[in-house]
Amino acid sequence: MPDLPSIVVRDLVKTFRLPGSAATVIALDLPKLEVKRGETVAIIGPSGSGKTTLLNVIAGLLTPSQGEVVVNGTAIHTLDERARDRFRARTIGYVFQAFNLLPAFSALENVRIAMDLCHVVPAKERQEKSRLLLAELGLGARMHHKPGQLSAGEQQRVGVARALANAPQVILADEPTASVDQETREIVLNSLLVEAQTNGKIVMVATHDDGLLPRFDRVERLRKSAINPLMVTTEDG
Amino acid sequence: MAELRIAWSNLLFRPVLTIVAAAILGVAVALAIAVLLLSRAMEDGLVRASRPFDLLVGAKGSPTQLIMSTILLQDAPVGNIPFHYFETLRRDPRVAHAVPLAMGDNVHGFRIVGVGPEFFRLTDPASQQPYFAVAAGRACKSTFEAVLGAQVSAIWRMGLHGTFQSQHGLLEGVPGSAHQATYTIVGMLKPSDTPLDRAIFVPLDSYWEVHDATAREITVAMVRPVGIKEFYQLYQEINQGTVAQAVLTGQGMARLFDLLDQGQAILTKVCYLALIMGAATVFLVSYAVGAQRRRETAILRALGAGRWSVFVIGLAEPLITAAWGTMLGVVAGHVAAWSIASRLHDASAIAIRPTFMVEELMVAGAVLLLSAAAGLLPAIESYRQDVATNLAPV
Repeated sequence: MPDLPSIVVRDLVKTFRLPGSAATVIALDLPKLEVKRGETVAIIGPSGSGKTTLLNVIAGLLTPSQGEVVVNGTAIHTLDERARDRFRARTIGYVFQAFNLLPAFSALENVRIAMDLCHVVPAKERQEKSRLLLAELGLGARMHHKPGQLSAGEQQRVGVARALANAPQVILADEPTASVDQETREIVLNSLLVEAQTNGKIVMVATHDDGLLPRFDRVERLRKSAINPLMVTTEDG
Repeated sequence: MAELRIAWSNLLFRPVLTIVAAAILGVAVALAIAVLLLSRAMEDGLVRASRPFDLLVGAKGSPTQLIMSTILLQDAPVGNIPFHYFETLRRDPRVAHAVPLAMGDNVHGFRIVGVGPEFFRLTDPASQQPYFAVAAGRACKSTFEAVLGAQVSAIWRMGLHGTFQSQHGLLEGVPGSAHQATYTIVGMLKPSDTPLDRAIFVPLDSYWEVHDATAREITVAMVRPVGIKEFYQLYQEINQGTVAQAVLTGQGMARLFDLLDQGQAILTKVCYLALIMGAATVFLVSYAVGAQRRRETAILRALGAGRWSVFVIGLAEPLITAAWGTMLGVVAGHVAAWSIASRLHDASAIAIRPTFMVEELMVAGAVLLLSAAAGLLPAIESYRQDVATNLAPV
């Protein structure tokens, strides 16, 4: 069923309480968003428009204040925290702008830990799969180095390998190319997009890099408004 | 288990903090173990040292001083009692045997003890083995023959047929205190695990002769009554008299243990304090890495780890640190106890043998519990922390 939407967002509102105050701010107000299986979507918008918040809600890291979020048939807004942890482990791969690698572990271990925590990949296959993923991303000779010994570009490639480790159906990336060089930018982007093309996965990338947009199937723009603080518009990629 | 592997690697990633925390905890555990082992071993050693002495009869004065000077060879003797008083006692049908000891001379700081021939025939009622068995040569019989205690022969390196002159008093090298008579070594004793291993034994006659004594006296008599009833009868009768005092060795040692217990109680409090400080260090280390931990916890949660997983990791780190500190402390505590015991043995000849005690497990358990308590708050923070906030770029 390639044309059925795999991510469905309806009337999503996420508010945050201001620290030390009873007042709340609206961080995200998204009336509708649908993403089909195998689709690649770029999320753009000015800083503070809710791009990261949207990805965190879809990942189950944040709960919606209002509205519905259905991913692969799972209404994650109805799940309790344990169920959302399980859902995230099995369904979501997340690439961060700040890489967010575990500093005490080598590149290989960082990839492997993602599998050890989620128990999706059989234990005996995890080490070999970690090696293969890193080798495919050009890190065959650097897999035993710790994050502190890797360049920014290398760290981001480890981050991509880690996001792909459990073969998730949805790959979310928050500014994945913001802190890396041109060569890594291409490697990272290609690695993500090829997952959608060959394996039918959803790839959603929040970015400020307009140069990337033509590579995506769709671009979703989150925009602040003076009347309605946040709104979403759709553009063709 | 991935959580334990992560905790282990996190600790290795910050070796200085981990080593400092484990070392402080280790010192606290070592202190507690050493105090525990030594206090028990010391009591055992003192009990072993006092075995040959059932009832001590000596001059009126301090009972503790009589025990200290006779059994531990510390302190000066209380005084002397007439030999005829001892002979009356020996002939008493309620006495199984009585052995006279005369003290007051030394050679190179080793006390010279004048003894009757019965001394070498004293046996342990349980094993029937002699307390003071000859290892080489023979027991002294004639005037100016001498037998060396086991430690004296080892330290002094004087062999059979060697000769020496004694000095009056208990201190070595006091000018003008040397006696003219020359002793010849005719035997050396096996270790008895008592301070008498640091003594030199000579016949009582020799003792009187070098002192040119007109009235024959002894310092103390080791008395073994025939039974319990006789034991207490003699004790009461002697103490009601005006010549001598009788001291129940067991009762005297119990008094000594009470004194030791007072010191041990203070040391125990110091140990508790050290253990609490060790746990406080673990707590501080857990908090010192708080910012880094919050980010790591958020990453793990984003990867799919549940709240309990990050709680387990947060708790495992102080527990692993505590386990390392405890292992280090147990080993160091045993080494320290053996080292101190060896020095005490060299100084006093009391055999102090620290051995593994069940209480050590209680110390280890207490350390782990304290460390778990210290790590609980940071672990709860990990459990409760907001994920998304801590994933943002710094």
